[in-house]
Amino acid sequence: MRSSSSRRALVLAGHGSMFGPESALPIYQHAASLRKTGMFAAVYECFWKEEPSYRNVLYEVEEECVYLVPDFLSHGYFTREVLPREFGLSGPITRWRSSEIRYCEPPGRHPRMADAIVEQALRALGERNCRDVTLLLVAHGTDRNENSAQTAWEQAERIRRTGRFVECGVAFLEQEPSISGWRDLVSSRDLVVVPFFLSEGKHSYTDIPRMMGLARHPRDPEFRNPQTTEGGRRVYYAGSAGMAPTLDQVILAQVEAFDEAHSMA
Amino acid sequence: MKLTQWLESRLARTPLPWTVGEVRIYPGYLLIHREDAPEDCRLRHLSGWEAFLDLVRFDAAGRFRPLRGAPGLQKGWRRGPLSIAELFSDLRVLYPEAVALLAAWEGKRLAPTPFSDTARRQTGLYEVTQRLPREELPALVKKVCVRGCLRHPLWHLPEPRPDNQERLTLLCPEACHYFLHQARARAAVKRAA
Repeated sequence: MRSSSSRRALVLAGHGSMFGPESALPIYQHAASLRKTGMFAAVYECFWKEEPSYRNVLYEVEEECVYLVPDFLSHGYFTREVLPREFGLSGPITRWRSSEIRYCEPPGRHPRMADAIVEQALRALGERNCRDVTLLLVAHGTDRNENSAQTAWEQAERIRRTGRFVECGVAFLEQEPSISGWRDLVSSRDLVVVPFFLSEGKHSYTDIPRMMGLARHPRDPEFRNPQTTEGGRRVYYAGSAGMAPTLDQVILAQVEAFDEAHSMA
Repeated sequence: MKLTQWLESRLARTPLPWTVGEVRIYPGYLLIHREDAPEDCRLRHLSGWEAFLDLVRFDAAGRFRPLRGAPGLQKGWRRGPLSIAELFSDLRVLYPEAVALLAAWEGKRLAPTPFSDTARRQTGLYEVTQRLPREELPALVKKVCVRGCLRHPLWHLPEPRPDNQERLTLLCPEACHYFLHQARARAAVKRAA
């Protein structure tokens, strides 16, 4: 049965960082936005690398029904291994003292995430018609979990099916196909790059532009869209997918998807 | 008992001054840095969660503070008067989980996790912490937890355990990620040597 809002809590589990404030910022923003909806008695945020920690946050939770949403885009190493281990999860539903923890999938995996990616791409393109533009989704990728890249491929396929862009491809920082080979991956003259990360940070501001050989990175005061590169290729660089203003709605959609999948609606 | 009710009742039976980490709570409730005076009219009234979160996440020089329990909270601000729910919420931002952990500890519901268990769980980058020599642990705890943090490391057995009900002690039931990061660096050095 669906629990009333007075008994439901939402726990957003993000990554965080020991070195910079930006990683955790979208999680705080999503939590603040979702508190305002009144759909949950309480919304808690917690992090792998900052406080509140995954290990201790449940001591604060007083509600009977706890939706635990990994505030991640990729469904890989962290969402399949680290979070279940640190929270002591035994499956989609776990009893913890007097609470029931309902482990949802990350927003990055929901079909509505494709809309958020497109939203970021269109913002970077401005007035530019996207019909002859390739959308290139750039994710982290890792050898530690073979599923990590899968989420980006799934979203790219959804966007490809809409036909809004001439093509939609995927490249990675730490696995093949590497973003450093983007010229071979994209055949159109113009492309819009959307970092498939939850927050802005080193990967989106530094690593991807550097690996692409772009002259300007998004923090550069001279940064403008598009950047024309060698051979006349024009690159529009978008904000990270997780910074899309609608991401809080994608999180809610994952909570609803959990209830539907487990016959709780 | 709800945690806000627990906090209210805990404060009521705790002698003044009420100090939690680097903040002081005055009846009413007013929250300021413990080295500031409540009557100081220069204190900046902080309203809104974003301004308060920024205050907690950055030191006076604008450097990021990943460890909330580390000394270095900015001075010169005030929050309040606050309801007990608002005070609880502010303490959550200042010292995450502190009230909940203290309530659990005093209610005998908090079991500290030894470092060996924490290290054994780690995979990936932090798996190497399993190789930190046992004799290295006290020195690392002294550096990271005793000198570098206001929380009491319950998980490190040689440390005395707090039993003073007159204080609002910040507790740490398990090595945090900042500690794991330091342990990883030290274990990697040992391994290379």
